[in-house]
Amino acid sequence: MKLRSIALAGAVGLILADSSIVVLALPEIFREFDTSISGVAWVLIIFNLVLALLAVPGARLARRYGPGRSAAIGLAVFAGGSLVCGLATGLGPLLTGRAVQAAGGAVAVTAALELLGTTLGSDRKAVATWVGAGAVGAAIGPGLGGLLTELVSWQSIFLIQVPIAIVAGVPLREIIIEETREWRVPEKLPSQDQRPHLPANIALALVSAAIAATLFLIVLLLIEGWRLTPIEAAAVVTVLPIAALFGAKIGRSVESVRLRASSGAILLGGGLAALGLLPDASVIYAIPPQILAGIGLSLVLSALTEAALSGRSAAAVHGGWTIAARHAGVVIGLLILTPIFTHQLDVQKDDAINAGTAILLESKIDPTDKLELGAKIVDEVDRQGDRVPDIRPAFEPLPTDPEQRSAYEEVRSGLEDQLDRAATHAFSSSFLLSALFGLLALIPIGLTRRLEL
Amino acid sequence: MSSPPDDPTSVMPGDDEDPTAHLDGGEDSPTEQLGADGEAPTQNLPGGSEDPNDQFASARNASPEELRARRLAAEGASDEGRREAATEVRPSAAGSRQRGIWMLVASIAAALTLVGVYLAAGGLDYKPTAAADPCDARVWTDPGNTEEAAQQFALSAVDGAACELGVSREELTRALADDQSRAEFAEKYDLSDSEIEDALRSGLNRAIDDAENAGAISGLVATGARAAVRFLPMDQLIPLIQDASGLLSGDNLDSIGGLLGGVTDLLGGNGSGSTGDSGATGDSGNLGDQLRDAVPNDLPGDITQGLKNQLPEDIQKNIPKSLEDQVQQELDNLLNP
Repeated sequence: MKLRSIALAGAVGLILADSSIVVLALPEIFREFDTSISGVAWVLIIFNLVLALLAVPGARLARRYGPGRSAAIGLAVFAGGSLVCGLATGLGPLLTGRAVQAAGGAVAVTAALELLGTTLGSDRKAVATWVGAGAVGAAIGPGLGGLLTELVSWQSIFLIQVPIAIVAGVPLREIIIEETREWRVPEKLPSQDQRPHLPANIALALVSAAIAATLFLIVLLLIEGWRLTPIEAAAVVTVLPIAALFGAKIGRSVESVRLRASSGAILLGGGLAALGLLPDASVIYAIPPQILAGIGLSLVLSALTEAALSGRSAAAVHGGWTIAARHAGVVIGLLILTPIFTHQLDVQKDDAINAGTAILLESKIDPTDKLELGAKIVDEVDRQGDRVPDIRPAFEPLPTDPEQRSAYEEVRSGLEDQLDRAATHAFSSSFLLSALFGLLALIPIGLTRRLEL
Repeated sequence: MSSPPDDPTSVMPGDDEDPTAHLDGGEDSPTEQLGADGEAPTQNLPGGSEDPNDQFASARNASPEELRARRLAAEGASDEGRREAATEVRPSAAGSRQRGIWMLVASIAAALTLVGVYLAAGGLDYKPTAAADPCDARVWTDPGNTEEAAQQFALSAVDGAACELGVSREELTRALADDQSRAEFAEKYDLSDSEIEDALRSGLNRAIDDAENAGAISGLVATGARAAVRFLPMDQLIPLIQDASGLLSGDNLDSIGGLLGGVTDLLGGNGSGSTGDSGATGDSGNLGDQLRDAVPNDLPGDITQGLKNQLPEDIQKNIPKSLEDQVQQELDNLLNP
């Protein structure tokens, strides 16, 4: 693969990773900016919303002014937006930076598809590379973001993208020179359909709504629910991109778009349904559903994107439609699922507090100490606000008397178990709804004959 | 660029001979397969300047790779690109569909298996333990000491009060933690202080019943406690729920036993209850039952006087003032440990 193709694939991966790369940083941003879960979800929503809205106009710009120049300008704008995000001191500037990132990204990603077609000399390879880079980027994003958040800071996630975006634009200089010298807007071929492939794009939107849940909710469950560190959570969600790569490999052995898309949607739905039915707050149980979801998302995204682009010109514009559909799906998924799971979190927190109170009441802790401990736990829960509380500080210092110490530890363990149950169950309905989104994609996949290439 | 095969069916997927069987699920017409959906065949062919009939014949005999290569040529792709396109081989048609069907079946099986395993492992039940119904009868375990008895007494009392108010025991417990919590609780459920107070009295009476039935307190103590509960203000009811060890402690029982033993003597030494040293059990006897049964709903404010009033008049006359004072003092100690 030529250096230019690698740079273009890297740029696509980088930009589309941004729809998920901040997921693991959200808890940090949430704490630093003292906002709500719904507020912090907008860090994801705004990026995906702008990307969805500007993907098709961005692609038309690329057709009009040349994909090389458009990609370069898009990458420059993306780098500028990343810089704003990295230096943001509040939620407002951060959201502004995210919108700028997405605007630049929309142009660069769609232009990259056009450029890949020319560079690789094969539409199929171009589409495969473009889809693969995006899927791997989106799947690697959370893990990478988690590592950077843990090792450096959440700001580093954005700052590191600035030089990468600039470097990705360097191999485009020859094309830019050529396009500057002479650029003619390509004529539309009458042999090719100009309309967006509606069933494939609807299916892409539904599947992407489900994928948003996979990436966003898993990470919040691991960090906020199960209290894993970002680096631990990153290790857990790394299963997803690995499974996605495996999915891409097995997908290559099957020609039928419909069979690949159906299999992918079923695996994605099954994985998400299993996440909605976790029998314990253990990372072991979080692995198999991610394997299914990872393979599924890879199969279904590539198949549907191929279908959406097949027999259509221009590639950038129809690529833009797929980007618009996917990221609109992500936005819809986040907008529907975020209030559901935040409401569930409140309900489950109350249930957990009741269950915890019962444990405390039935414990062998001395009655006067019990009252004091109960008050400390309530204070700790209040102090931590919307989050699933870490009640361990309320138990410090532990009594010296061995019998009482054991009683304290028993109560703490019981309370943590109830909180784990509450946190896990709070995500349950959102995961199940996401599974439904994934499975609903089977309707446009199955009802149309037009999905075969 | 590969040359067109002589037999068009050779470029179709699948092993059978019927070309239409390989087209897009088998139901589309061959013309639809040549390009964009539903368009006239000639519109789907590259190089619009050629004779449409020639193009159609040519396209019908061309492999998909050739068609794509022609399109790339029309779009101005590089020679290298055209070569790649011409030699670009999709997954082998033979067996591809079968592999796809196997993949679909395997996907369904994997999804159903995983969901089934998680359901079997208790996926539906992994949620916070539901609060117990406070109206259910509470089973008292054998209290090993006063602290355990006090804890069970408190739980019974809160259960009873929560049942009366129609809330969970846990929520009421938190509400009783301080004045602010109580006020928030009252506002949430639109309750007045007197309603909460009544519920607490009801709960304490249930706890006294439970304690008595479990043998944790004597009948006489139970009688005294019930009388006290009727008149104590809420500020004193709550501490009594939170820590009833004073009520249940051996010392107080001994003291009350002693006092009531004196009353028993006054009654003529009917031997219904032993005195002083019976601890947390015993001492209920007939006197306790008589006193409890005798306590009317309109027991006067002064508990000692109230108890005294339940005794036959001739006995009342013989109770020394010093004993009355002592009973009063002990009850005060009992209720305000």
